[in-house]
Amino acid sequence: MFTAMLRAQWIWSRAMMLFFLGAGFTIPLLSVPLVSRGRHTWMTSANIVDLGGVIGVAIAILIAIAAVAIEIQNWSVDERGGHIYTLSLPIDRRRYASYRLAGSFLLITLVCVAIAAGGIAAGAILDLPSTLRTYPVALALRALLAGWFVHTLAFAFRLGAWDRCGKTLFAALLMVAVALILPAAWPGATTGWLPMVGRLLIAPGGPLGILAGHWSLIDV
Amino acid sequence: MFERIDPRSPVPIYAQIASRLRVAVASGELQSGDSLPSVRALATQLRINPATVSQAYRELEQEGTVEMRQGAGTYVSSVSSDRRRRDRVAEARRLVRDFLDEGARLGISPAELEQALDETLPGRIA
Amino acid sequence: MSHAIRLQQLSYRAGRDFALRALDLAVPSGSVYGFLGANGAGKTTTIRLIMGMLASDDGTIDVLGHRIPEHVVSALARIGYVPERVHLYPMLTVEETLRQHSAFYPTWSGRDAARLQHAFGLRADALVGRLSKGEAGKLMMLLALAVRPELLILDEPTDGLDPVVRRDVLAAIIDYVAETRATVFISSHLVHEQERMCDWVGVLDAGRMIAELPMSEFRAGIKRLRVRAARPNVASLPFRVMSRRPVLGQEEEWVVCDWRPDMRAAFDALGDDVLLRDVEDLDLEESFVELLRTSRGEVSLAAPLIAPEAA
Repeated sequence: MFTAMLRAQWIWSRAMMLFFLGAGFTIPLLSVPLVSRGRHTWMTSANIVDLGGVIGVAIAILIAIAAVAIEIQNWSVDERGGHIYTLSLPIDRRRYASYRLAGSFLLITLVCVAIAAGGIAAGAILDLPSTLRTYPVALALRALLAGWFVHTLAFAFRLGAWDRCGKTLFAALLMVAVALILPAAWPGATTGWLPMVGRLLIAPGGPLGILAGHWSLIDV
Repeated sequence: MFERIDPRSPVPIYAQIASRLRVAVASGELQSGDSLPSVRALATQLRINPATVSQAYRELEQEGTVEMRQGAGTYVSSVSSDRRRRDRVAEARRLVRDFLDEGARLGISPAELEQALDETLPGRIA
Repeated sequence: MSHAIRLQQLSYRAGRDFALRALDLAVPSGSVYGFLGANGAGKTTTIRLIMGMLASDDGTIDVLGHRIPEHVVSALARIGYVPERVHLYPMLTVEETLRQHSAFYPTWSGRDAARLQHAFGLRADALVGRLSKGEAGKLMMLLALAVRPELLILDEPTDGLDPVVRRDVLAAIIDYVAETRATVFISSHLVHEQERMCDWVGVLDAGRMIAELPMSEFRAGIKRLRVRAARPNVASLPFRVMSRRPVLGQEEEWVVCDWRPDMRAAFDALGDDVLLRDVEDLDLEESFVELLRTSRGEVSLAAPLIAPEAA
């Protein structure tokens, strides 16, 4: 049953998955031309670490989007038939839900494997100062945990009633987005209450803290 | 053969099927030893409940018109020519009764029907 | 007699306007049961309760000996189900759909699936989302039959299908029943279809069961009488008069139920004032319409005519 469900899930997510796999592999590799071009002219080690941080954030965003997109795709497929098909199958509902969750975890894992592969490839090509090194596997592992976490959160909210939980999740994600985007776009606006709440959410130890902090492919 | 089966008729479908087969045997359309369609095939063809076909076949078997051989299907029994003649007469009487009933329903007297029959028959026979 | 489906005092409320009230329903094993009712009578809701998709407020549901909802998984494994609307994954092909469905049913027959796919002319690589209504209907029927169920639950299986497809679908059901003697529960408002196939009839109206009996009794018991009635009131009769309307002059049409042929004698006792002119048979659709009219109280205008003497 699990393989059948996974096969079906792969069929309806494969276009999307190809994009995520491609992006996961490519983003770490983006550091290669940037670092090697700047290396001999203006880049200091600190600059390179900052660049690694930017790439890390891109990966955090990618994995969060992938986790939520896989969830939405799964749900909308069942939702379209009013869940009638699922409910008519002779399978315990909890078992069905856990198979669905496991299938999505597997897809997220694939994206993280692509990230790791991209990171390892980048590390092999990069000519870094001796004080710096790459951490592709650590980064991919972190992406894996973050992806699983975000997906589980979205899944749990959907599994519950959309009315209460869904709105809560939506508000939380909105605040995170505001907290991430506002300070970047408008440095003076960091004092408002929304960014404050947002920063609380993604602060270390906060509920979405796993998405924040350092996402470094290249570090000391 | 079963084009005239009418589920909306007051005559139950199984009786319609049995009667149709009985007439077919009486008129020689079906000969002794001929096989009838299987219950499954006939039910599917007519889109009726298989139990209805079974019921018709059972009725015909009880009166000796057909024989159901276990696992081999249903076959027309050898029916004496005397019995076939009687069945034909019975069917003719049934038709006439229907005809008279229909006339009565429309308010046409038996005498008028008889006259109409006398006028129509010569043309048909020739 | 064992029952494939048995509902006892089943109640379910959805919103203010709709409720199933103390529903009793029993589908004998091996029968083809026509579940009749107008649109909105509650047929689909009843089916969803039987399938464990909705939770009842009160009463019990037993399907193939399994109590619902506690043992719904065991019951569902033995049921072939065709819902009223297409419920399959649109982005899978026909072949992928068969493969995915088969994984859930240990009883799945690949041979039956292949045979039906051929008979229905379904292309293996066609996307489910692109199938015509008729093709989707056939695919759903194929899925329901290829699990070789002991019970088929069909919710308006032919609604909106063209006559050719409808024939194919009905023939497939009958072929399966002839082979396996499975029980069939068909909900429909297309009464003619049921007339050929069903040997049991249940009629649901506005969330209540208003009749449940073998088809032969249903057909034999409801008649239209042509009566010449000089007196407006008729003494209590051994059958129930469901409706009564004047036709021409003193002629009236009565629709009665619980009729038996020997009841003609009841009219002899009434003397010359009330004459029974004719007894006509009704087909299922007419009977069904009369039954609904009576249940909805639409005949109340005519009712004073038939007030029994005792009243």
